[in-house]
Amino acid sequence: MKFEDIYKEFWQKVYRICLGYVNDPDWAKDIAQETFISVFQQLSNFRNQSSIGTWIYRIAANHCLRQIEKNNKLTKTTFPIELAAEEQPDLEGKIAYLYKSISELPELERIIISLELENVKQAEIALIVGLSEANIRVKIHRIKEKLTQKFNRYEQ
Amino acid sequence: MSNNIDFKDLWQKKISEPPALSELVNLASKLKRQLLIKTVLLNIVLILTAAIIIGIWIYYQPQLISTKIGICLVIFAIFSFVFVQSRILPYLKNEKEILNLNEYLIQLKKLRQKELFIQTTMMNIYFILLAFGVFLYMYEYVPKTVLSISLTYGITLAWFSLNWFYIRPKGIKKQQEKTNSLIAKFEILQKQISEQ
Repeated sequence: MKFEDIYKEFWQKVYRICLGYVNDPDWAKDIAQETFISVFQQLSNFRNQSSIGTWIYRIAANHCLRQIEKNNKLTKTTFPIELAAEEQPDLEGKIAYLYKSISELPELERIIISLELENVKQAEIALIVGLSEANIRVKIHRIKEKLTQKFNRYEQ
Repeated sequence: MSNNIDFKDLWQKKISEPPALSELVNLASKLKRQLLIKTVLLNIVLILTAAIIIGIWIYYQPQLISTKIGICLVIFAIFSFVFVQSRILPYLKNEKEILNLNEYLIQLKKLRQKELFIQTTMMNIYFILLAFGVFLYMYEYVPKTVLSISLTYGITLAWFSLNWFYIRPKGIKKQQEKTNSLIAKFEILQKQISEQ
């Protein structure tokens, strides 16, 4: 597979995963770009042991995780909850709230739910994270419950 | 209360224009350039240090073997310190297989622990070699009177003691705090993975 094709096909997906992780568009763009640089550098090592998607998501997830080492920029660009509650829950607001809510989850949950929302199969998520599929299924169920509760509070 | 929020639909509505491929290429070459500059600078420092010390050797023509051993020890101390530092820099960059998150975390933690060990040990070795090197080197040039010897060696000893008992532990402590806080963060992440 050519790098240009990979880039076209996976940019949005990788970017969204990064955005879900940090909830900061510029920062997410940086992580996504670093991910694609790694993809480019390592493409010759890819031997079809897994699908190209799984392989790329592994790189993206690892890059997200390494943000911990870079700085203490863990404060995200969030807006106060009171303010959010006053806003009309229009589509843009809902999207923003979803990304914000995800970025407030524990690091691992952010990655798992982002992959799930990206339609990555649970078996593949298990391979990316290094957990059993059953474990991933339980985790996804719990994360979705958390998000639903948050959203219900937001919409009230 | 609604349980039917379509999160996937909301999630995938977020669209970001992919940066032009040329932007990515520029970033990649910028990163490569930064690494190159770092390597070049490191080498310049090494070559200059060696040149200065060898210059001293040629200019002053030391007669005693102690001076020559001293010079060698100092060069060796500086070289080994910078060399080890430079070896730590590109860690995990050459990993062929892409690890899953769980394995990746284990590796990151291990490497940080190794890094801390190397830095602490290297700093101790560096100071010891440097101190011995300087003491041996000085011997030839210090006038052989009790007063000169005790004064010169006393001041040098005081300087090294300050380094050994104050600057060195401070540096090690700073590095330890940084690395330990990272290791603690990795452990939190590992706990998240192992939680059922």
